[in-house]
Amino acid sequence: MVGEIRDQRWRLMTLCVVFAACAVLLLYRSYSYQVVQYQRFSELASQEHQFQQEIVPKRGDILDRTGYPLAISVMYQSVYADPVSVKDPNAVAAALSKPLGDPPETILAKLQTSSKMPILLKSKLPADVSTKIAGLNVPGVYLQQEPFRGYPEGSIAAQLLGFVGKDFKGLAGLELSLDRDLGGEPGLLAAERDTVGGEIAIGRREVVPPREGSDAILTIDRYIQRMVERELADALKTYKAKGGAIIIMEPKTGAILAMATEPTYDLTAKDVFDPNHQELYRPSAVTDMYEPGSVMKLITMSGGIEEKLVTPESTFMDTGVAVIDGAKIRNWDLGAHGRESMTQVLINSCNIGAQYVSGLLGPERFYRYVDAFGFGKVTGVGLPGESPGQFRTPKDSDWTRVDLATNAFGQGIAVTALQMITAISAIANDGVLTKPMLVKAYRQGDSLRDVAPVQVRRVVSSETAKSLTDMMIHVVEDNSLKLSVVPGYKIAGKSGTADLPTSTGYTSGVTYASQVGFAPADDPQFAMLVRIDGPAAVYGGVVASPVFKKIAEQLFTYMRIPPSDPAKAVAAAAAASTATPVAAAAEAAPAVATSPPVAPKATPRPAVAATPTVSAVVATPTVPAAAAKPTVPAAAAKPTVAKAIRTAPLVMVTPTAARAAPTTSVTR
Amino acid sequence: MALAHLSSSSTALPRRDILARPKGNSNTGVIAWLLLASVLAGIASLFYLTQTSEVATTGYSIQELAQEEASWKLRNDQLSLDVARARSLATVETEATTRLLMTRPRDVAYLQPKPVLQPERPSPASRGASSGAPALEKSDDASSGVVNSGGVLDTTRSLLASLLATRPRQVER
Repeated sequence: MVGEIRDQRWRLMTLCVVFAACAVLLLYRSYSYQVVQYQRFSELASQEHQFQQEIVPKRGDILDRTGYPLAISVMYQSVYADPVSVKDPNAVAAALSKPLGDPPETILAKLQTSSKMPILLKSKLPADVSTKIAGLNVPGVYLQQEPFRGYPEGSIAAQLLGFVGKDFKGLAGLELSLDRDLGGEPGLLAAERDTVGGEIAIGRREVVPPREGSDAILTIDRYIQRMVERELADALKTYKAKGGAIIIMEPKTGAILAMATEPTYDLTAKDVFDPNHQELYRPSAVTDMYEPGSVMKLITMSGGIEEKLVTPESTFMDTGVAVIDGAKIRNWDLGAHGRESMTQVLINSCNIGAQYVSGLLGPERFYRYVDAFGFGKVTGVGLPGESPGQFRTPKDSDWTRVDLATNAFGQGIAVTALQMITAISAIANDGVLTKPMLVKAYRQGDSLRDVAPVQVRRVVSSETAKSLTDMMIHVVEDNSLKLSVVPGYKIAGKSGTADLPTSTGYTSGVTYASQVGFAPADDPQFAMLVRIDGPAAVYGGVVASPVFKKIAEQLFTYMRIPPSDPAKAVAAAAAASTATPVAAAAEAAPAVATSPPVAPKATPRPAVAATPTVSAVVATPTVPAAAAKPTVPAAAAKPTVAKAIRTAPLVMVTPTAARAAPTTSVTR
Repeated sequence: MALAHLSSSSTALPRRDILARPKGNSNTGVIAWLLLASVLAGIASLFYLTQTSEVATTGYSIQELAQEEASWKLRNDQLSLDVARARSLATVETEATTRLLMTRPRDVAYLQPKPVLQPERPSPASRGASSGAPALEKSDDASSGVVNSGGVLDTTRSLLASLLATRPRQVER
């Protein structure tokens, strides 16, 4: 009996010891996991349980000055398949075929891959299609949201707008230079997730909201931009040119209304970027330099008049040749114009006259004016890769007095198109240089931040600007070709032709033909530069002037600018409307077809521009055959006539279908 | 010793009964309280679990609705691009030229409206006799810069004349 009790006690003790040992072991493991390795397991749990996700901000839109979108961001969903999770590719292909609109074989071909990476089945799905696919709950198939940049106006202002990369960062143009404003700042979402990866609704959640990108409202007018691009494209075809640039600017504010360049690229192409054509992606109006030719005479003459060395009526004897340090300077027509005034120097585009004025100025004053007008430095317009231009000054060791002579008429000096139009705008703006601007305002939600125009400096006095303007009016109206005259309107302008230099001199035979000007001359609403590169017809006055005129006519109408001489405008319109269509076509053709200028090189006859047909819908007014005269009596009623013209809008005989009222408001 | 004395001198059964009765009562009470506490704890837990699951379910519903809202916003976004394309100049021009058969204008015609002449103030002597309607200048079509197509403008001119003729009181002061 006692022995049995002792046996039972011993077994009980043994069992207790075993249990105790197990308990100690468990306690030890618990201690090890929860105290010693607490940090490690806590981090593992946190990684499993917590997640952080970047909230991508919406990229800001780029709008034109009237609020119409030129580039907008839209989110689309793309459908992906995870090859590891897809167990039955045939079933997946069959299920997705109808919503995607692709044959099952195409989808199956993409799914049958040895790769373990997610496969893109289709991108940029419309919302209804992605909703259908989400509802199918196909195993291994998931949707991912991706941003897309859309261009509702198509490919206009391509070099200006630029484009974004796959990461939605700007790569060219304004998309690049305004990337910080357009891109915004990403936000952060920190939350808890469950075992299947979904966010726990009642879990901890912290959100740092993103700063959405600001919308950039440009100074560009979509209608003017489109019109200018069309005219440039037509001009390249008509004059068989290699390229060109047209810039239209508001002289008083520096706002750029349109900037068109050729060659360019297609913004709406599927793969915009082609590494073999990188030269197309830079905004060539600010990056590419060219020799301006006779347009530079305006700068030279401004300096001469401002320094009171010459007046528009001052005369000098043009013998047809000037010898500077052994180099002979001749006029473009190799002729001599005899005694001529400074105004005639501009009308005849006399190189000898220009070098005469620069000689009077001397190198120090001449280059001071060149600098004051903005040449030799960037304009700060905000486009990437802007060039400051290039020319030698007396500070350079290889500068000679020949440079002073040739720079005076725009040879041996390289400028950008934007620099040239900015300088001309200074003359139009009463002698004050304004900084060119492309962005009018930034919009973030309901708040609008305007960008104020910048008046850089006064370059010449108001009187000098007025004198230059009058001289430029004479250039337009008194030259033999009169190709940029618009009846009834006072236009101030100057044409220029510069040879493309080669390593052996100006022997390429290729020219830059340009025309600059502003109108109306008494109260300029726009300044314009037209440059045609390498035209067959060579001369600026012959090639660029007709383009200038065509665009000016359309701008007068679009901008509702009344004629300064209504009688002339009415008379010209009446004469034009009574002309036959064939005669009208001949009228519309460049005058070079009938009277080419005297030139050392042969000027091939350019093709006559195709005359658009008169639509049967358009009600051409039946004007009386006789020349129109105002009906009002003279003197007292004259101001009333002008007032009536100004208050009553011009009657358009064609439907203004293109001017739909914007609904997007950009007013404060 | 005291206990032995008590047990020998008195009846054992009643003492045991007396001693045993309170012991049995406290056990039942404790068990009853324990049971009650368990039931209450259970109810509380159930209540808590119900609330938690309700909140969680609502949370997931909110997430689903948020996803649906995001989906509708996506659709709106895409439609805004379609609207912008429909209002683009290219679309307007295509519609104008293909459906409405319009063409680009060839010429711009300038119309020179006649000046707005102030009507003559009749003198007090001629007040009654005045017709009130200022005479409009007769236009000489041959010399006029005004487009006179003979139809619309003539009608407008005669209408204007008749309106002025019927409103003498507004003109006279």
